[in-house]
Amino acid sequence: MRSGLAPDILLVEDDPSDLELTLRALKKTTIANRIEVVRDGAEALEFLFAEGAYASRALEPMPRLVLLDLKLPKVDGLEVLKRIRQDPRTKHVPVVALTSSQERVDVMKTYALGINSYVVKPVGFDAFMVAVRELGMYWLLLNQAPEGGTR
Amino acid sequence: MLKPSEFVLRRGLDPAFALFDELLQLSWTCDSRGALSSLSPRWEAYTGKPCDQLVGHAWLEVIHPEDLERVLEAWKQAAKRREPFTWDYRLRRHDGAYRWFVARGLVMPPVEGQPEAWFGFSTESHEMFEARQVLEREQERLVRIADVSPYAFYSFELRPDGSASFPYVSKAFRALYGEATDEVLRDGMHAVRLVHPDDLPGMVASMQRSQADLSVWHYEWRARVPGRGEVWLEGHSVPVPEADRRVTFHGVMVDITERKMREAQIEQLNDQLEGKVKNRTAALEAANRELEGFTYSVSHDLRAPLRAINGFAQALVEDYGPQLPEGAHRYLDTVQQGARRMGRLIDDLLSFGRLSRQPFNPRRIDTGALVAECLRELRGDSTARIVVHPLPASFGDASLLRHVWLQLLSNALKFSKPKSDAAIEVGAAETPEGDDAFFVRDNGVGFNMQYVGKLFGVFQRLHRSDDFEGTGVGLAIVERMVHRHGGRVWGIGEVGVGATFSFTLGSEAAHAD
Repeated sequence: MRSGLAPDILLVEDDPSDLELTLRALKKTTIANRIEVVRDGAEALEFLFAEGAYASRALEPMPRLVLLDLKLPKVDGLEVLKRIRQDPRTKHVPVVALTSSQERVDVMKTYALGINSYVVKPVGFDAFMVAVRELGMYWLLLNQAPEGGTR
Repeated sequence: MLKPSEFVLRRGLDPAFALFDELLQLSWTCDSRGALSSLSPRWEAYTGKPCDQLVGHAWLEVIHPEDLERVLEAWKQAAKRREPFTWDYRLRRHDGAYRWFVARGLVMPPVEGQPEAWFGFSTESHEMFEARQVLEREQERLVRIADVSPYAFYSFELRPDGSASFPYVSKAFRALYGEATDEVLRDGMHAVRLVHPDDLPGMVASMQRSQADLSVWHYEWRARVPGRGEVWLEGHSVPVPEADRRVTFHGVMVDITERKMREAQIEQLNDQLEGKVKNRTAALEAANRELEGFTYSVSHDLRAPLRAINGFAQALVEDYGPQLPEGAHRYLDTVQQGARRMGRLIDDLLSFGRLSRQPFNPRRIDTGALVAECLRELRGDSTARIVVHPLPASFGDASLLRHVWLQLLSNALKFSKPKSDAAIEVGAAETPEGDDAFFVRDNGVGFNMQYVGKLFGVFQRLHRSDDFEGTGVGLAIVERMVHRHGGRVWGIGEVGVGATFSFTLGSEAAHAD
């Protein structure tokens, strides 16, 4: 993690296997060079708002994309999403839920809280690779960030 | 002031006979044995017999035979006591009809040297007598009805001085008031004193209201009856105002203790039932919440390790593939296949749970269009010959029924695939109960009817995975969905010949609630 430079992606993931596989997939795409990893919801919020362990981090610029697992220790993904959307400094950051849950309630809740995209982690590795590559492509290369946004 | 008879006697005459002759009544005189000595001419006009044929005891011939004995006995008594008499009897008219008369007779004042003599009048009283009889019969009829009724009929008279009485009560009244009946009949207010203190104010108020606007009175109250304990009574009556500001309530009363007890029991049972339903509902809701929690964690936690197994097996192949011997590659393939299959099982199980809990929105559905749509989706590269007969409309949840058809049709395609002349037939037939039964028939591998009981169980499979892919959840979902529609599903098959799956849906009326 190179300090000083804003990351392309903030990856919030507590499962070590999923983390490694996601990083592996992202590396293969070569779209994102700088990836910051946090392991729970509380750490994610500290990073984003430059608090606690990340107090020395410059607030700006924000990550270009947050990949958020929903089931997290301490502060869960829904709560993290809510806080991101409530704060004027972070409300425009694109957040994609990357989760195992296909439950309708989860999908509805996250969209209600302003998620940008909802991706179910497939069991098959190939499908997983495709999913990660596609969402990286879209959010980092194709999507036009709003004026005064995260760049 | 002299009576007319005294007046004529004083004059030494006996003019009474002259007067008697002119009376509208039949008048007569007789001796102490009842033998007539004279008759007024009206006798002849009435009986049609000349008077000289009625004198002596001949008059007895025109008395109604049924009255004869009674008349003679009455006469005997009167003659013995020498008292005035009155009797009723029927006298035969000239046309043979008997008419009622009332006879009044007196012994004449004695005359020196003359035998004792009587005189009297017979007055026709037929209409009055008949009217009285009709009245008596009517009254008797009413009393009989009243006395046989389980309701107690009564008249309750209320007087302005606060006293009261029951001028009339029917037999059943005694059953209501038991030992207290005599006291109640002596003093009407005693019935009021037996009313439960809690019910008395309401009862008095309702009677006053009814008395004021002359409306029908109705009330249910508890009474404490000696020997019977507390009983529930119900009364209906109509107030009739009388002279002197009295009012009489005519009505009926009935013991409703049993009904009240039953009502109380029903209420208690209802309460218990409500409580039970509440508990069950709470238990069901808790179970549902638990299931949702379970589903949620299955969805999250069971898939993660599978992803790891699969992902790292892939990574192993990618990163160290060249160093691995051929056997290791085969093992890794098997590991990945296993993980993928496990993933499918989890997904199917989750969708089974999800579909079971999905809201149910029934409406009329074009079955033919639904089947055509499912077939378009499933057909793929299948070479099966598919015949779809005309299908009646169905009533149900579109999304759930789609799952049912998709499952049955994909099964038919799957299990007929090995046949070179695969054929699938979709149609509807009427069941003996008159419901529409849809069916999907294939000429595929079929199944052994010995295992028909396992067809619809979750994770039950009748074929080896090597031969046919599947997790064994499909038909379980079909059965759930069909049951939710109030219908049933069944399958018949024969190994190597084919299988037919049929299902019905509940009627539209059954979903109306």
